[in-house]
Amino acid sequence: MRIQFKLREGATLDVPGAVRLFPDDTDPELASLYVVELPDDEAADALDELKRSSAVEFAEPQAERWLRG
Amino acid sequence: MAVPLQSDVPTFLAPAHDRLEYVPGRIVVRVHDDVREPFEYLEREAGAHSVESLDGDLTIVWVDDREVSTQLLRTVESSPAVAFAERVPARWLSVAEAADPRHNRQWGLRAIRWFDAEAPAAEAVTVAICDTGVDEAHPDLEGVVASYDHAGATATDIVGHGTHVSGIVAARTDDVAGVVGVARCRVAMWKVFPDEPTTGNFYVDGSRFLRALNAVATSGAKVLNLSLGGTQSSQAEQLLFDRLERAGVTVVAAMGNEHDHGNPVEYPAAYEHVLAVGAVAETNRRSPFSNTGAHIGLAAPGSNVLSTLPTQPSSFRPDTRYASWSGTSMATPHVAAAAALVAAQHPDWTPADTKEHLRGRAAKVADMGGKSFTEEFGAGLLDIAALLASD
Repeated sequence: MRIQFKLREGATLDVPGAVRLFPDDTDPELASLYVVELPDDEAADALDELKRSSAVEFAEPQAERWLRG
Repeated sequence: MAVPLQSDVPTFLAPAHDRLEYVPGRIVVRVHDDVREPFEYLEREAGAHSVESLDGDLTIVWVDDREVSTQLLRTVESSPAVAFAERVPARWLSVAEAADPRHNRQWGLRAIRWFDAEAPAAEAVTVAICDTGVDEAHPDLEGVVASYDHAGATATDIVGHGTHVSGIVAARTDDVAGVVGVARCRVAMWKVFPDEPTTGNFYVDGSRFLRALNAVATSGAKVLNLSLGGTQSSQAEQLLFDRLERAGVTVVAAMGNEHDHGNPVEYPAAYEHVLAVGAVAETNRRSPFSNTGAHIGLAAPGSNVLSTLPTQPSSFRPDTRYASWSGTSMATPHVAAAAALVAAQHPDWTPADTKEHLRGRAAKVADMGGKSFTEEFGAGLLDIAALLASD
């Protein structure tokens, strides 16, 4: 499962395996967005931990999107 | 459900540059008397091997086309018994000159009063599409695709969905192939689906999708079509849709097709700033599958919509070239293209202006019961003629 999260302005957080969603973008809003891929059985705990962190503005599973036709 | 159709170009229609002036190997001869000499001459000099008598004294002679010349015909005509000898002129069906031969099967264009509108040129407007890719070589999409980002996947539109959506938006008009799009605009495609399904279904690559949304915001596109969705909302997505709004991009998304399976609220259709589109059938009634809800903006044709498919089949799609598909996926690009027409007519309008205009000019259908808004149709059915009419 992929989890994406946004750090608060100026905050830092060491999340193993996490990468920036927009690695080349210097815009502060985009530069603070990260994604991490985790085994399904670890994802729920990791998501809870991220949500509890004061450094994290939001954390969420990557939403599923499919075709509407 | 896809409905396979036949070739887009009628077999009796040859390209203009390939048309023949004469029927090869045929001469028509008018002979006054019952004489054999002209035919014997043609048999000897031009390999005549068969004759067909028409009414009166006209005869068609089958000859070796390589031997037919002006001199040969004059020699035949030199006989006192021959009134004239000439090559049989080629004739073709004028009906084959009709442009876009399938457009009369596009019921949706009638429903949205496309034929009643004087559509502005919109070649300068680009509609961005995040989908399964596009067949740029399709005859009805030649020159339509301004850009195609398929990073991380092949260029092939395996599913065909993105090619179908692209055709609804911008299939070429006034050509001899197939269908017409709602707008004469350009399309910029971001392929956000993988080449292989996951557990039987094609799901968006979430990271690629977010990156595509950001790229659209800086691409210069005026409209974004999203014929996709899901039941979970996302703060990261909402952040990017806010940026698209600020960048001047009108975002149009499908309401979803699960009306009889819980009728869930779906995203991105339900995000703020996104114009949500439901589907109607040819009866102007809600397509049975089309989700309803307070967030719906308006409705557009979504049942049995004829559009383009990739010219080559794939393991997931046997149909090619053209087919009729159903879904709010098909309704959405009608509105996206309409937004492109509005952008062409009013280049200084904001996305909010465009969406308000689309809703404000929508036609009220009978099932709305005289109301200005319902959760089935939103503000009503897309109406191109009203949309483009001067105030």
